[in-house]
Amino acid sequence: MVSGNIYFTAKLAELIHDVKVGKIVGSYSISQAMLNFLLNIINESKWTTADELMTIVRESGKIVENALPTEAILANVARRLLKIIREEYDELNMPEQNKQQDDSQAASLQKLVTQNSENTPSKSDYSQLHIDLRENLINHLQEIENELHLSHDNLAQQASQHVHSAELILTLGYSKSVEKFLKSVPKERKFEVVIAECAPACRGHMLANSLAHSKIDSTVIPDSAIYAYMSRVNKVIIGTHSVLANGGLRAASGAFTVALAAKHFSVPVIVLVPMFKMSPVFLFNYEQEAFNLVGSTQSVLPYNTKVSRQVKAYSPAFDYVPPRLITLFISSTNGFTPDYVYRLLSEMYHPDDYNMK
Amino acid sequence: MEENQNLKKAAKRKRRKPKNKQKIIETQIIETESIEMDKKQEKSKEQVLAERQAKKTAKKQVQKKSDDVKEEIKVEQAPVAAQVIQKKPESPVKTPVPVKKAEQVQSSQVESAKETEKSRDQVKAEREAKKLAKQAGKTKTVDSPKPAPKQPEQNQKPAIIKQNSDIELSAKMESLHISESELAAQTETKAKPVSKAERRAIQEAQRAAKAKQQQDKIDKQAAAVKKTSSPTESKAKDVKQDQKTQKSPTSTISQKSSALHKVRLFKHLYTEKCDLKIKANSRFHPAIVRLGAQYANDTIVGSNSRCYAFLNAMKILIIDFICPSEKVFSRALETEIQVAVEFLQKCRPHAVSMTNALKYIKVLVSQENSNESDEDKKQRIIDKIDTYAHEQIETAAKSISLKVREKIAEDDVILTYGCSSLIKRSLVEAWKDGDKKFSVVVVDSRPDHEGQEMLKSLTMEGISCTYVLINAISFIMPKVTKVLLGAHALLANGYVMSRVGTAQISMIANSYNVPVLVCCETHKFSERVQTDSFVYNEIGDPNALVKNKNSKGVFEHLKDWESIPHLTPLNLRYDITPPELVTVVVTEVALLPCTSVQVILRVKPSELI
Repeated sequence: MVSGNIYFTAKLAELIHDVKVGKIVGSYSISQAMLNFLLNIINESKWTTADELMTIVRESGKIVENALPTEAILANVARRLLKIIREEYDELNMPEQNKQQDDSQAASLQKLVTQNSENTPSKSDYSQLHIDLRENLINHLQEIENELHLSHDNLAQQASQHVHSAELILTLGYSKSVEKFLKSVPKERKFEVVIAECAPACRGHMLANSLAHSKIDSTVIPDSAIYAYMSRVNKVIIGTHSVLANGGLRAASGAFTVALAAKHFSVPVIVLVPMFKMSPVFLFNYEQEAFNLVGSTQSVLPYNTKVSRQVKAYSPAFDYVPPRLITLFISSTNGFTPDYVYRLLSEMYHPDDYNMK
Repeated sequence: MEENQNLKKAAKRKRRKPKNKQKIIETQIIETESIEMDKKQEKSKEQVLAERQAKKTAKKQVQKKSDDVKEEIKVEQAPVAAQVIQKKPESPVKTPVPVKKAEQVQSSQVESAKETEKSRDQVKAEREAKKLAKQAGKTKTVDSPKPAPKQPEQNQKPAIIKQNSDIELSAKMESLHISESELAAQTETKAKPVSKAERRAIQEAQRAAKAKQQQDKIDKQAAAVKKTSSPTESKAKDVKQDQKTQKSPTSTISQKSSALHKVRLFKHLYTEKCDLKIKANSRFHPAIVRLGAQYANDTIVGSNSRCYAFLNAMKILIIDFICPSEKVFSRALETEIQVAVEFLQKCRPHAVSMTNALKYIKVLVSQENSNESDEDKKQRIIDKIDTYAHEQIETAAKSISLKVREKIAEDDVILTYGCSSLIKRSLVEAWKDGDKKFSVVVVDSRPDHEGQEMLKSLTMEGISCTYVLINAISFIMPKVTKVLLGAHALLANGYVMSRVGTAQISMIANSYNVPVLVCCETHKFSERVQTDSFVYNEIGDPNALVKNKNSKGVFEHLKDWESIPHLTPLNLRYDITPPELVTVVVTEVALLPCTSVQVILRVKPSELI
């Protein structure tokens, strides 16, 4: 690192290790951990200008991105912070009288249409010294933390807008967002949930168990019955690991089957995405090796069986779901279509930070 | 809606009227009877004989009465009783046999305590209830809680019901066995105002009894005589137990909970598990019982092997079949087969291949040549069954295997799902043929992991294999060049019925533009048409989902599903693949599009026989 702080490098290595070995599981916990790490940097690292801080953050982002290419959330948090640093710096840097003028300009539709790379406001070098910056940043990050904290709840609040009574909803595996979402459907709306178990880990059982305890009729089906069941399903509601820049999903293995079957039967596919899952990364269908993560096959084909010596077995963790199969995303604030993802990304992250290198 | 309701109301009114009329008549007759019994307690022998006569007259009276208007009834009450009483002594003692029986009746009655009498009444009441159940499903539920077992006061109710219903029928015998105390009690209860529910029960019993009266008249008489002998006690116990279980609230709870773990969409597919232990002791041929057990425990799976096993069991059944001398061979054998088949159906619903084989066997059996001896007939049928097994399963598989071999190209990556015996054979033979090198992707799914079986056979031959679970299909599909699938059946509308998951694989293969070949012998073609996987399917053991076959453990979150009311694992066996997802069907006849199934179906039966 530029600051040469071995302490932070060690911290980061620890974080990466924890995620890798599964000590920290779930997108929410991972992003929370990364946010805490970055807060530490802001608080304790020796930086004087915004530029210096941004370099440190960018360095960290680069490291996590290389170490955990599939866990885009870590880098997303770093990107978010970079954007915030820029915003805060610009605000401090701007003369008072210009402020209001600029605000009105930013909101103008005309500007939105005519804006292009040439007439964007010139890049500042972020090298000016601002004493308030640290405090402002910490305040802002507190907001982000709150937003993160409430993301599932905000999502769940919209449940009544999407689930009607007597509905048959299919979902796959386990997702915290889906669990909260379904549980916050008003009790008087009776609906049924079909859960594809998502072998070999079968985390779908967990969701089924939890929903059943909240008195929601849950049916567990093996992954092979997804197509058979789909013709009667009203809605598919799934969670995802992350959303890619083109609006596609990196979701649990089996999601492609679900989405394709839903398309086949014209069933709407709704994906629940807390905002921090949006990543400005492009990946494609045919890049399975680069995109996927292959897990242990012990649970697919036990190592002690005779055949396992002669057979290649795979246990991929993810499925790529192309944007054409997705009807709707529901985020913490509202719903949007896959086509709109690029726009949200540009609002959340600065285009310069898409690529951390 | 309104019109409907009005109609219903009108219907109800109509029904009610005759009921009331009848009720009065019945009570009236009970009274006459009780009077009669009071008077003639000792003249038992004569009474027995007189009964028949009396019964007839009573019946006439009832019929007459029911035609009459209500008001007449009360006035005529006394005359009716008189008539009945008068009739009795008139009938002369003709044969000694009924007298003897009556004596038996009496003696047995003396031996057995009051309780047995009551329970005997209950037997009758129960029989009545059964009949009612036949007539109208609801009647039973109203009726059955009535005969409460122990307390004497309650005991009278069944007695009343029985008396009422039997009076016009036959069972004047009863009157002999009813002790004085009971009679007194009976009259007492009659004096008491009867509750609404009781009355309704009585009415219903009467109505049902009346409807049945003519057919059952003779039966009942015989039964009534038989019943008095020794089995009465044990039967009575059974009945008591029955009643207890019917009454107990636990039974309703268990019914409720059994409804709980059924998926709404599939309620029609849940079947009661056949109790093989009981069936094993029954009159079925041991070969059939064994086969049934093998089906039920999934020891024999796959439509080909099931069909093979079925044909073999049928052969044994036919060989061991001895035609009763008074019956026609073909008829007797047909019923024998039918009974066996119904048992097998209970163990596990038939595979389409079995249904087709059964159809064939039935045609064989019905083709009767009167010149043949039974042994010749058997031999002819068995020979034909052997030919069927050989041609339809063995030769067809060989032919399909050859056709598949032609379609495999050098360096092909062939994806297959589960463990189809036909695909296994085709791949192994193609590999042994040796001129082409290919590799196989075996896709498998929980809970059965049949693919591991396939994997064993293929690796044994040295075929290089890749193994994935079905949810990883999109991961492996880009590398695949052909998809080869087995089928459970081909339906007349071109849909493929197969192991659940097949449709999913075809769909994904289709989205990756990989050709899908379905291999299916023509003996699995079905007349049935179907467009979804819901109407006709099979539900496997839900507990299979709970077990982790690979780690030999169970899944924590699912293991207590039976105690969690809203949690239901569903283990479907089949799904339906639409023809647009299937590139070609490989049959022993030719490579066909799915839609040509109907052509084959039409041509085939004439060829077979």
